[in-house]
Amino acid sequence: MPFTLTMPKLSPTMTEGSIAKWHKNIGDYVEAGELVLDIATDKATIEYEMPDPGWLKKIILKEGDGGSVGEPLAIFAIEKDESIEGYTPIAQVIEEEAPAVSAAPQRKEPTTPLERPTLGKRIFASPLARKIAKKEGISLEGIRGSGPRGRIMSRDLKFIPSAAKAPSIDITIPSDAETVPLTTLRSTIAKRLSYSKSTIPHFYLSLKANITKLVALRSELKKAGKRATINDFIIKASAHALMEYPNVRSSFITEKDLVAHHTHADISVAVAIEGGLITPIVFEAENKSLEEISTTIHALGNKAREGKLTPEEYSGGAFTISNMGMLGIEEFYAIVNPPQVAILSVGAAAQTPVVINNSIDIATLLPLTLSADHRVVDGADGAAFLKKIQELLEEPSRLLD
Amino acid sequence: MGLPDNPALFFSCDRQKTVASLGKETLLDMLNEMLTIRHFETRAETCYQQGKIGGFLHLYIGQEAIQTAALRALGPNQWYVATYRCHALALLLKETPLSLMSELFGRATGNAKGRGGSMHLYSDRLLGGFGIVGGHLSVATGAALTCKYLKKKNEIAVTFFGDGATAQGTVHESFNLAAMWQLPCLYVMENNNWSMGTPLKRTLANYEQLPEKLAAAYDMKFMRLDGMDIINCYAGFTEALQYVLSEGKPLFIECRTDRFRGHSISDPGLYRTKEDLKKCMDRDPIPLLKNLLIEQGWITEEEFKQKDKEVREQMAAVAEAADKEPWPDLSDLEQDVLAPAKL
Amino acid sequence: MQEVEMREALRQAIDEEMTLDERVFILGEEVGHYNGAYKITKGLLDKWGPQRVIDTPICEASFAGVAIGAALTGLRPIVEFMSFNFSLLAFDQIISNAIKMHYMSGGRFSVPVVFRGANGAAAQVSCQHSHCVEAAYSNFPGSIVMAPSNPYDAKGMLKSALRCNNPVLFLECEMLYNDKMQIPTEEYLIPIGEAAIKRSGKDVTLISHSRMVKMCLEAANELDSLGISAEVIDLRTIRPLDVKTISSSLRKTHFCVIVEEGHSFGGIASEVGFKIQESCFDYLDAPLGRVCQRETPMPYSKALEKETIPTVPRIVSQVKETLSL
Repeated sequence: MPFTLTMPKLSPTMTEGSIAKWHKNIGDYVEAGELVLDIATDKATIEYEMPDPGWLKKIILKEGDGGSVGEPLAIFAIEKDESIEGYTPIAQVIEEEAPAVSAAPQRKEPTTPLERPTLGKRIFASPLARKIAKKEGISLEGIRGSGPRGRIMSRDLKFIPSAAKAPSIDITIPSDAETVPLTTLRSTIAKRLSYSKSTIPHFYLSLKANITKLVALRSELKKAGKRATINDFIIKASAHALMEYPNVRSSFITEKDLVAHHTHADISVAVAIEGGLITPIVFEAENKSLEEISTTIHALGNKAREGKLTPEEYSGGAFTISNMGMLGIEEFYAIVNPPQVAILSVGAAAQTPVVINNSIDIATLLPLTLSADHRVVDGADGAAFLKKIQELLEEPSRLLD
Repeated sequence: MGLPDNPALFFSCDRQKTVASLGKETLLDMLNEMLTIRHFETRAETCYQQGKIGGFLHLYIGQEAIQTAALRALGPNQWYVATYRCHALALLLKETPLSLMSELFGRATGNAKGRGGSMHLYSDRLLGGFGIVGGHLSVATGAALTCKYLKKKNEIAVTFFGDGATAQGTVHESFNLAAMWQLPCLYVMENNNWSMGTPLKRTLANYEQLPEKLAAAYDMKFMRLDGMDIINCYAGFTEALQYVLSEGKPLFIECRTDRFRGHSISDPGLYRTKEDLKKCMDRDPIPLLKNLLIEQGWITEEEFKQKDKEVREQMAAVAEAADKEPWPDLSDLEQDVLAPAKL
Repeated sequence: MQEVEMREALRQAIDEEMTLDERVFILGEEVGHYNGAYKITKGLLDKWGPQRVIDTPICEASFAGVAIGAALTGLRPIVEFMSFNFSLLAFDQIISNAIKMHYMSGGRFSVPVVFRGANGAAAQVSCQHSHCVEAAYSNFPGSIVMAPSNPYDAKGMLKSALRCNNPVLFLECEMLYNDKMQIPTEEYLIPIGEAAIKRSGKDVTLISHSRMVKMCLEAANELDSLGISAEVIDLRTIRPLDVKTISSSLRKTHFCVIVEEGHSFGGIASEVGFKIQESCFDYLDAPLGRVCQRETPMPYSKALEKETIPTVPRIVSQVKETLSL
């Protein structure tokens, strides 16, 4: 059997070599261990000894020729007179690597597609919060996170009503009922008010202010061409009261256990608009005259109804006033608008018999209810604040600058 | 390593007596063992050059007489500890050439299941194949401790190491412990004069008188053997064993030898001239034994050639067979890192 | 029951195992005539004799190697490193010849040896005598690394270590040797690879080992007064890690702070932390926190040393940060 002598790998890094010198000729017998040729590598010229004995029959790579490691150099035969005709030299496959490594292990679960964040804004939430939200069917959008950089943590979801938590109510809807999906505004209102009503410990203080004098004053102003609504007076009175009671004039940052006292009486005024309500702000109401307040409110109201308010105009107030008097409501208890800590509900003024100094009189009484966040405002605080408003409304000349 | 000029520095043995005590059969056996080692090593070399073996490969070519004589004199029932130049020892301890070649090829049926490779071969009595030379002397010293602890009457520890390894701190620490605690350990330094490319004179102070100075520093008995002369080695190891067993003390042996290849497969040996290398090979232990046997009339040149061819072909067949052995199952990769709770 | 110091608990473990198995013996510096640098081996030389209680010279590499050679050939040695700082001289023996051996030999040889001694800082012993070596050793497959925090655990764990058939790094702590505790007189074992909940809680999980467990328990008391209920896990075995106990706790508390005496880079907290995020990601309500030794070699000065290792205020502060409080 003929056999092939191939280019040996003479060092771990050798990839090719060249024939420097053949020490044997065709027809020679080469012993095992006998010097047969010199091979030049990149490092040195090595004298190569024959591994197995044989008769040199054919030289494939001559002196000066180069070849890759494993490439056939020559053909030998075991027997002297053996023919090598028909014998194809066999290259040595130098496996650079072991057989193929195993395929990546089978994943136990298929990878879920990455949650798409809301358009343009990534919601930061802890893995646990995400897990709970997913399970309970809560949307993370709009939820204020109490973790660093506003990260939503599981505790922030505690009072969000969940689909799972709601009792299963049999909802039978008549087939011809018109279904209306919530607008973004409505949805936001729904979420915020749910959060507020279920999280904030509300308490309510009510009294009636005697605005007989105020009504008269307003008439006079009207005659003098200075228009002011009762609401404008209320805003002004509240502004002054707020400057005396910084605790009411504040925002509660729950995640940091901090109460931030606003510098100014920036009063949010509830305005009904189509499909909901909005609260444009009268900034620095304490520094505005009654007239200025009136003008501001007028303008803001228009803007609100036209849907043209910018976020700066309705975010960040210190206190809210909601007036349902014009709708004929006597009493109501508004929901605090977080992060604010109080809201004033104004009912319909009405002529009412009153007892003054043991005799019956008729006065115009304005129902006022203060809803307050008991985490920040105590009863006494709220009462004093409300009394202040009452005091100012009952002596309205003090509200004129 | 050249012989010192003064033959008195060598262990002196009655050659005739030793040869006679061994006899024809045993000596032919020993010749066969040396041929097996020689052809296993050269075949491994060729296979490496064909890409079948990777990593480090340290060949014992030229040094065969030492371990062949040692095993014959000491017997297989000792504890053996070697460096990475351990193929010969594994063969002499009767690990099959196929299991060893398969290990070099990285196959599942290899001596260490393909996990150790050339440097880490084992048998029930061979604790390895150690890659950090010099450190392994402590392991051998520990094995000697076991022999003493368990009061073994006929068991010692034997360790082989190179002249280069002798510089390592643990070598000196081990000599100190063995001498002080009196442990039955045989320390065999195979001095081929080279640690990789550094000659002994640049490795050890007192390099010409290592046994006299180094062993003596620890009050250890010593011996110097001609590592190319299997008869001298056999006689020396025989006496060494008697000493260690009867005294229960360690003994240091320097075997002067030569390796005919570089330190390992990647070492082209450029630190030796061709003439020097040829001079070493003039004292090739295999022809030396052959000539002795021919003198005794126990073998002919022709019979030797035949035997040589036979063993060479055997090893070629082993390589072919090893190449067909299965690769390890990749799913077994992390098996057996820890020994099981119940052995 | 008996009240014992940790050193006595360890001594009992060694003595009992030497009684049960005559292949068990101990070697190390001063273990015999001196009765042990920290008196762990007190009285053992008198009881068992010099063959089984062996005083070594100062040559860690070789006496570790000797123990390994003995373990390979049928004995079950204990190596006492006076402290694990010195074990670094024997690092090669431990890694190359003990830890790798079973795998490297294709399962042929096992190495039943226990390397034990004091690990970590003591009292002002400065830069070269205060190393925490657990991270270095536990990186290597084939190692078993254990660290008891109290006498009860110490005894049961050491007995298990001595019976296991693999090399064990048994990391004690000099500052704990005097700690007293009631332990049973009857034999008991603590399995390798089992962590223990030393204090139940529901708001945050503190994970630690060795001396820092005590510090975590102190911190937990302080956290209690702040209304935070901390669960304290004592790892006991570092490698293999008891991921099950850890992840059960995390699934309950959702917040974690890992405390170790070693340094932060590549420390035990790194591995524990990774395992937690791997097994409990969806249960985490905040990133993991860790409190480690400050990034310096151990300074000598008393005040500096105290400040360098974790402190109760640092642990409490990290808990609050992790909880975003």
